[in-house]
Amino acid sequence: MTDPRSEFMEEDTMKNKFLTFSIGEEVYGIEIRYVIEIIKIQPITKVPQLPDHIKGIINLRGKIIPVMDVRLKFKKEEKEYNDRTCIIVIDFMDISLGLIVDNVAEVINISEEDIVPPPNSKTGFTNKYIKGIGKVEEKVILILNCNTLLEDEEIDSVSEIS
Amino acid sequence: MKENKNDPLLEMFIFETNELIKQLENMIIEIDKNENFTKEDINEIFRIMHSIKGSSAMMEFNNISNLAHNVEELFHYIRENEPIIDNHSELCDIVLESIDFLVTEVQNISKDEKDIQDSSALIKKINNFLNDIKENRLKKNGFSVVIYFEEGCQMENMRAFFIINELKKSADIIGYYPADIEDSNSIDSIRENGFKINFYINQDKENTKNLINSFPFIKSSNIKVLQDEEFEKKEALNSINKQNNINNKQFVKNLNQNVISVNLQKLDTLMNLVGELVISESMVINNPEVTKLQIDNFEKASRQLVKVTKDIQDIVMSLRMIPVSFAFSPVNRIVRDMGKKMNKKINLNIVGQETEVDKNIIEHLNDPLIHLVRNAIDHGLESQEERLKKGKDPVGTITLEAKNIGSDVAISIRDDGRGLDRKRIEEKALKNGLIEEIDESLSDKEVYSYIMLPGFSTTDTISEYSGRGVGMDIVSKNIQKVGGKVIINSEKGKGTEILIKIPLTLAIMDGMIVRIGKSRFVIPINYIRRSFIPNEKDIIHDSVNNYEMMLVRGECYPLIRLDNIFDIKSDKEKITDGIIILVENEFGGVCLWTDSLEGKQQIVVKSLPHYIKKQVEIAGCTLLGDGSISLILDIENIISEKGGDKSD
Repeated sequence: MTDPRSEFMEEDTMKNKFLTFSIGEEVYGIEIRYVIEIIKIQPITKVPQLPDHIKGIINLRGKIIPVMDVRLKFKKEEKEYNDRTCIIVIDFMDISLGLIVDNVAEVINISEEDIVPPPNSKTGFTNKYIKGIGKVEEKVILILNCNTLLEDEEIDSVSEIS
Repeated sequence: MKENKNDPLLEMFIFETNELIKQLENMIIEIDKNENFTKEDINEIFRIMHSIKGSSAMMEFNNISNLAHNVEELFHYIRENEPIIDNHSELCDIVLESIDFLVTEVQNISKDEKDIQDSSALIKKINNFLNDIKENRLKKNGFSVVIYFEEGCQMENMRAFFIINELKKSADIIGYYPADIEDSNSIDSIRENGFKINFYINQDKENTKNLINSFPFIKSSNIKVLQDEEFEKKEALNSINKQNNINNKQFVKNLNQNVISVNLQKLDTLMNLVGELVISESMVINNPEVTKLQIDNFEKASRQLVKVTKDIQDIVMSLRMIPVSFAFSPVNRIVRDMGKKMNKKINLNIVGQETEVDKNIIEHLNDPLIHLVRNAIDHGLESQEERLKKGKDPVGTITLEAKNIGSDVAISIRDDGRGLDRKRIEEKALKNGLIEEIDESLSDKEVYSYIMLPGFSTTDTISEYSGRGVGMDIVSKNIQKVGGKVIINSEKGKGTEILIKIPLTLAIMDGMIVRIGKSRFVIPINYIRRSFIPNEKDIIHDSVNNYEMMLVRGECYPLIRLDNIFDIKSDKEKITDGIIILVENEFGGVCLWTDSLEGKQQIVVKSLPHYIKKQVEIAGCTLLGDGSISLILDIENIISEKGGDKSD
């Protein structure tokens, strides 16, 4: 799998680049600057008494990283993992986390003008995790809000520990 | 994320300046105790301020260089002209205030907020002091007086003591002989040779002689103008204290030699790599295809490899160890400042400061230590009058001790104050809704631990230093974070001891790997007492409480089925197909039921990522030889939650 982050890029120029992936019919995008790498699905060690969408932990070259099943987080039906399933490892606010997604598509540029804020109350639940809606050609890309994604109980327990 | 966080020049400046400030602070506290500035001290202070001035000017930190410049000027004058310093305490206060200003300034700088503070008031103070010294220099005369007391007046040493106290009001006393006038053995010396005092005073010879003769019981006195060579140092009088100081200084000096500062991140990376090395070594040596072949030379070579790897491991782990004195040093300052403010005389005893602990632990010790010492001074030690009434020494003693016990390090803070009052604690806990009822059957130790509950405080007045009820529970939390525990001992009227026990290092340990279904768990070897196959007849079911127990050698232990706790499907159908592991600590034990034992292995402990909520039964995780992750059971917690009490 390609490593989307090149050493020559400045943080600023990464701002408008998004890694897109799909969960079912929908395509989501996440800012490249949070993405560390993409790996194939691998054996996950379960940790007892975690919320359903946190599947457990994996060993990434010696580092222990928790993984979250994005399908379950977005309250969609659980699907069996196949050889297209990937884990997107992100690093946000010093927290490392792996996102299990159906498949990874590509890195695309979406400029500011092409992003509109999400509609307020209509579609309900998943809105919380969407920062904006991007339009590229005819496709609609839901831009993820990492802050709220990692929020809820998770960050509370982080601040409790620290 | 600040850009200059990683600026090496800035980091070096902050590190070096902090080192110098720390050195200066320790020095001033000693000086204050001895009430004397020696020539070396003056030189050293000048040198330190000069360094700080230079480096801060280069980095354009004006507040620092400005203040340092003024203090440097002050000590330059003192060094060159050797004036009489009336008020050692005031000079110490000035330096300490400057230190505080500098410390805050350096902290601000690392937050990128330089030059915010206003140093003009402090600088004015410094200059005023300097001017005072300059003026005084011109006025004072030095005299040496020998006093002979009237025959038969008895208790000449007490009379001498009285004279010294009176004289102090108008003169600056350099020294007197015999020095130890509190000892009645000095009486003979005074009777035979007279009592000699050297001092500076704002009066001429005639008036001074009259002043001396005005004191009671004086038969006669000789007065001479003081020559400079005579009686220069008070040090002879304080020689006992000096010896201790020299020992302390030597210790600190030794620390600074042959030492190189290393970036912590590099150390962490090194530790991780050593951990990987241990795993890789295990993978090579335990590779089934190789062990099958049983090659002699290979086994010899691998034994050598294991030996060398272990040595590397030991050294790398010791790299992160630093002496606890680093956590103990702020205590000196606190004792001085608080003692002054609360008018309590305090003797601080520090034992075992060379004991080494992991740097991470030191960081978690700092705040708790400060808080505990504050508590001891504020609540523990009584006022001087109260102590005298109780027949205690008016000088209170606080002892800080650090030592290694087994695989733990034990740090205790003891005071000889009023001790804890069990009744008061119970009542307060009840009143604040922290307990439901007073339980007489609890031991004293258990009741004392109530003070660590959040929201507890027995002081009626919340003083500036403690009593807000937030302190002790934070102390307890901080210690638990590094895997330690706090034990409180006390005797009413005699004193209190707070004991902190912290495991030396959790990084690498010997573990037993057990299997449940498809998952594997690790049990730290040092808790395992026995392992065996269970017999149906040894298992007791308590269906009322849904509780199972096992009889082992006549003793009863709770039976914990790991597959139930962790919600994992076990491979075994009958309980007698599995294996029981009996684990114990000093408080109790449990029987753990598992599918099978997989073998002993040296494991590298990794903590679970913070993102995942902490489970009580899990202490961390590790990577096994085949790269898979295995969770490590927290035996201490499992026993305290479900364990049978040993005393039953």
